[in-house]
Amino acid sequence: MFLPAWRTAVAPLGKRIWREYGSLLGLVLIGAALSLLSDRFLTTSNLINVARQVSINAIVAAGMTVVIITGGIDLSVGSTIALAGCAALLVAGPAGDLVGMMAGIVVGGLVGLLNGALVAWGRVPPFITTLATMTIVRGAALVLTNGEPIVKAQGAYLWLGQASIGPLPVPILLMVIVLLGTHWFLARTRWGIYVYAVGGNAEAARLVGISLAGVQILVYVLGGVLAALAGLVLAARLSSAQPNTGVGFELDAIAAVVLGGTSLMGGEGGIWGTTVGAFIIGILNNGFNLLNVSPFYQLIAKGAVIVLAVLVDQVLKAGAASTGGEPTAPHPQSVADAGPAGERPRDG
Amino acid sequence: MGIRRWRTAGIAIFAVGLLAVWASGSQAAMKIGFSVSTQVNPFYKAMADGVRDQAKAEGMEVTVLNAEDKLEKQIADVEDLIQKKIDVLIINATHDGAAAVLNKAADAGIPVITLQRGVPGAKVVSHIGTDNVVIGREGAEWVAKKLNGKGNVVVMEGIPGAASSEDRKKGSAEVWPKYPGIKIVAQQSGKYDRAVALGVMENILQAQPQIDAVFCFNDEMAMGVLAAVKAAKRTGIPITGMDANKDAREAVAKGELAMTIALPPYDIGKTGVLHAKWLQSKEKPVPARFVMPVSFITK
Repeated sequence: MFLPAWRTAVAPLGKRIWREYGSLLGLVLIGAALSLLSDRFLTTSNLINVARQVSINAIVAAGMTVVIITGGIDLSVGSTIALAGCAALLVAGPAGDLVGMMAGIVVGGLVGLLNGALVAWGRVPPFITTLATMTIVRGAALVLTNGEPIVKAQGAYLWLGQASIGPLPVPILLMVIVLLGTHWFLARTRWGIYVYAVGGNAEAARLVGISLAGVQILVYVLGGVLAALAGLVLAARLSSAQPNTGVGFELDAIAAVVLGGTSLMGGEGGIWGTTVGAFIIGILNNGFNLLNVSPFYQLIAKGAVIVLAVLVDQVLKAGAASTGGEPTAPHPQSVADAGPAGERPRDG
Repeated sequence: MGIRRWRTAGIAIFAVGLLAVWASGSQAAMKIGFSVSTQVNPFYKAMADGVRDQAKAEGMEVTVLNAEDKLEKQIADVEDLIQKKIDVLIINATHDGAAAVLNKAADAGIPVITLQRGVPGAKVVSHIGTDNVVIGREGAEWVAKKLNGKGNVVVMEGIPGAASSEDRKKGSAEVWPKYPGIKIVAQQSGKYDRAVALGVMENILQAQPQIDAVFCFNDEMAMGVLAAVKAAKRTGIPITGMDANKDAREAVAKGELAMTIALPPYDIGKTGVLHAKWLQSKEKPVPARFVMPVSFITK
């Protein structure tokens, strides 16, 4: 009974890659084209450079994926990036770097709690809730800093954005940890299954005793905390925090999630696809700069690639469905059948 | 009984309100309204501060409304100001689309002064601001001279299509052909944003082994470029900004940025209020167009 949900959620990596064939194919094709067009693209230093740039969007997009799987959306992440960075640097001044970082994370969690509470208990649609908190949080960042950037030119804090462990910059390592962690959460924990269940059919999930409010609050808090982490990394990379930074970052995160094949309707998708999506956006930006493409044409090309990738994905999915392929989403009923106790799924 | 008591209270409050309006009116303070495009950017914050401070100094009653970068809100704000029967309207427009509501103010007998952003098609008595084409031209000249007319230059544009960015581009593009030794190796958009410019510059550094100067259309991007250049451990690349924000000035003083161009947003705000005053007092003629001078800030 549990099997379909379980198998899609934690299918082996090979099948997972196959399921996300569309976006992965897109990534490979764009990468191949850029390698041909620029001899600077396929170099170790450039690929590390791209991964470091992708890290911030990927960390935000990981949280966004979880929110979107429940059928929600979080438009406030760009503002949270700014507020968390500013709060961290403001607190770090008198209280030390470590306390500052924790303060930034806590602020992100509180924004998520507000979002989750409004969605779960206030019954305000996620789009409206987070549209409102987007401006509230931006305003809070401006009030907190009086509209001025906060500069922090030295200190342990900068390690988060500027250091490397071996050849790998810290932001990349953080990205890997976050992606693996959220993947584990979605695939290996009971609450992860609940996330899919709520997105697939909230009413059915509620009827089997899954706490709707609990799941919703959890995912928005997770989204807020990850946005805050991205804000800390960004501030560390820039040696300063700007109250007006992160404008539009929510769109890049949503684009990464959608490019990765996660449905905005909720109930399906995963972190692997989002990772591919974030890298597609990352290498596009990188390629445009390497090739010195006019900023006007960049806007057109970026939109076109997003539409094209999603179209290819749709076609491949339709093909998979007509040939009786695996279901691409866990069936909510099968989760419901398993009962609320949701014994830990075992590999079968 | 209860209803009557409430009604009495209502009438009393209304009467007190009327008295307050009459009392404030009786001081004959000049009433000005300022509709500003945004308060997110320090530039427009300084402009609003200039308006407030000068209005206070002149003993005027000033209402500052923030359009939050939305034309619809700005139109509603200006309509509210017309209802408040202000004497002069000062506006830093979000968009050319504000023209209709500005004409509505003008038709209601309220003179309109525009700050920094001109509004084509609007009946405006005075425009005060810097000219971005001139700024782009003078900035590019500074860079070309700094390089003695020879070298690889990266140009960091602002938001694609934004009037300020396109004008600065236009001004700088007039300069480069005069120096055949200058090569524009990359001209990309950092969207006026520090974080975006950081990423764009990192990519350009990957592509360009030899960069002799980076010319940025604002300070936020110059600071992002600086972070990228520092992280790449490339040295001896002069980076220039525009706007003279606080941390950019500090970076210039430390020798990290080569130059920034000081626009005077605070003085633009003050001048707007002065022109408003002259319109009523007629003590000085009000110029239809007043270009505020800019200055280079170097170490």
